[in-house]
Amino acid sequence: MDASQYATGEGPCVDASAEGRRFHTASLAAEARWPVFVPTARALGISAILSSPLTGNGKPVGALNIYSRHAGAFGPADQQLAAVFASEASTLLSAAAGDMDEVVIGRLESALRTRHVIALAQGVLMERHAIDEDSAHRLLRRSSARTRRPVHQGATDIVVSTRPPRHTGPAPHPQ
Amino acid sequence: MSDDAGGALERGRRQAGLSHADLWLRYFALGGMSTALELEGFLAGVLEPSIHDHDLVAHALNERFVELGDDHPVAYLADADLG
Repeated sequence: MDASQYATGEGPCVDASAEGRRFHTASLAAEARWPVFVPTARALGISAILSSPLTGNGKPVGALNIYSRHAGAFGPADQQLAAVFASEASTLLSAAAGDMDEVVIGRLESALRTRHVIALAQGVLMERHAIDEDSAHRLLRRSSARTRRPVHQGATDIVVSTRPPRHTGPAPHPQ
Repeated sequence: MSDDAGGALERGRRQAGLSHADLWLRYFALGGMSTALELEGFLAGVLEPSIHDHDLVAHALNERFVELGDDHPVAYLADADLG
């Protein structure tokens, strides 16, 4: 789910990271802020999202995202707990960032993005074919070996394929 | 997993010119759950990876070989049909 946001450049994770504040959507059914992201999330059965910003040395570096299949799943106590956890994680990130150069951090971030896309595609394949996690990963690897493309590229195609088609015809004219 | 399968991973790593850290990062990006130290144990033959883990490492190596213009020289265990 995070990968979808990275791919489309929109969603609560992206906004929480960019703006450095928490985004809470109690029910995606009533959410209009992210028109590309929301249908993808709903198609995967997600109903509520809580995104808390993560910082490293005072700079935004990402967000802690918690998803639920149940609308209204995150009450005030849950939001407070997520905020505390994100704050603690930010403290650790700041300490770790002092010991890592930017190249290493960049490679880790890239690996995390790749991993997220693959995990998301695994979930889609598990749902589509009623198979377990390892079998879904095998399908991705098989496709990768056949096409000589990295697993993450095929995974991205699968994630994109879950998006509803855009309406390309003329807008209906009011009578 | 046979000793030969474990040795094949280490031979593949050397042939691909990847450091242990590079290979772990590629394995992790594919979804691997083992630590870098555990991966070193797999390669050294002192820890036995699950079949799934073995094939993730094999695939991480084979993606590198494709980048280098090669095919998929490291054999899979569960994914024998991948060639």
